[in-house]
Amino acid sequence: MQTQAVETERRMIRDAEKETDMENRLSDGEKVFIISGAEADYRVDGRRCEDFRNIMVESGVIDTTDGSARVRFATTDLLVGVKCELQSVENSAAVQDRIRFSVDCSANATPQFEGKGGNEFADEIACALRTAYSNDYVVPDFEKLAVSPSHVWILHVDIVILQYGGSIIEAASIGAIAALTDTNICEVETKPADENRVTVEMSEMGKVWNLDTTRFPVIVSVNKLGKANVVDCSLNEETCIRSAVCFGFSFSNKMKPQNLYQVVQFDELSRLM
Amino acid sequence: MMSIISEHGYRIDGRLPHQIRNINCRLGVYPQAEGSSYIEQGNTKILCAVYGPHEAKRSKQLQDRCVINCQYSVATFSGLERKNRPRGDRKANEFTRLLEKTFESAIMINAFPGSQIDIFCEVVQNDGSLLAACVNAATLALCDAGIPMKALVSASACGFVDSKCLVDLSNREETDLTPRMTVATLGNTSQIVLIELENRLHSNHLPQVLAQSTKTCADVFECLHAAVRAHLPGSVAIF
Repeated sequence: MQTQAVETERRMIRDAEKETDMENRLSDGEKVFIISGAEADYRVDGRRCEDFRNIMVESGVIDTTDGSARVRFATTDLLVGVKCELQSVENSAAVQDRIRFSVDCSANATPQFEGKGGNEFADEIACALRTAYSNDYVVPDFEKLAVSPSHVWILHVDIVILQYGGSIIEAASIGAIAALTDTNICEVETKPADENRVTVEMSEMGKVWNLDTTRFPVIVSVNKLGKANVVDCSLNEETCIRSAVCFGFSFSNKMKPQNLYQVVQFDELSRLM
Repeated sequence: MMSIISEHGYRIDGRLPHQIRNINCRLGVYPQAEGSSYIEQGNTKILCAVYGPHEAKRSKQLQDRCVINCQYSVATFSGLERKNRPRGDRKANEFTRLLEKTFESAIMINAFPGSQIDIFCEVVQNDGSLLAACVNAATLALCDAGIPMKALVSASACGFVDSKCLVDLSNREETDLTPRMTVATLGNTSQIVLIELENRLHSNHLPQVLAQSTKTCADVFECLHAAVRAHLPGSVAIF
């Protein structure tokens, strides 16, 4: 019986090693300590499995953007900037991705992100956000972003990872909401022009509107540490994760989970079951 | 088109031609890096992290000295116009090389044979004089990392408009036509470790621009020196 347990533990560690080519490597002993601790509902920093670290959000931090935010979770530090761009298109109704996400892993966070090192991870985060935002329910102002049949507002949400301390996906989703809430979009007026075209002019100087962000999704990843389900993993805990599933939740005004919108699978779901 | 210097001799943001913008800086902003710094020169904001010295990759190793590896990256939202890529364009690669060369001449590279020092600069907000601000940020980060240098490196950008030297150019002054020179000097001396010129400048004006640049570098040096001195009591000495 005992040998079996040791065998499982070893397999657990091997799996964990395979998963993370990203960050600092821990010794087997440390991994066992973290995993068995989590199974007993105790974590290294004194939290329980379902506890989050303190989240700090600051908005309006960068002057060159239309909306910005900085999110910190202990040693995770993200900077989010939103830039609005009025694009001329053939048919604005066909433009579905009006909120566009891009993630950049700054080498400041860890030398492993240097050059193209962080691209794969960055794409994963951007893709998760894209999936979470690509449905009718979460963006109530979707129609309003199309100014005319040939003009559409594109909101570029750019996320820079300045410090990597785990839970990037959570921080990114919170940062996106904070920055988009902070975003001022210019009021414009449309006027008919020749050949069925439309010209767009700024209405009153400095008049802006804000997005309705009440339904924007919050993404949480649930991680499997041994038999325990853990949220908000620190960097060391992430090294021991066997699998993780990300859930994006959208809330109604009453702050009750309305719908589970997208499940972004980082690993086979079956392994979590 | 607004003129860069008004008829009364003031610049767009109200500065005099030889006046630098406010410098705000902080050392030791990242716990994970050996050294780090944050610098604000007016509205230009830069974060810099230094990792190392650590063992270099086999292919890169040099037996007599260490390798300086830089990465210059600009956040896509940092400027007035959105950029598509944070790095990898011609300009970013050029700045990367220039930073490497600058610090190769400033750091005691012979003290660390076979190793590598990484310097990463991230521009968070862009309001001109980026290369100069990056050099200043990197100096502070290297200081914080405790890497031996010959002296603090200080840099400044200097433009030439209407036969006047404008120092520490802002974004609006960095037009396609203004010749501008970035100079970095070692310590409070006139030893130049970096010089870069954009656009064309008549050779007759070169001494004037160079003299003003070196003088501004000395001004910037005072600011950086004060910041390092203020940081010193709070840091731990390792023997």
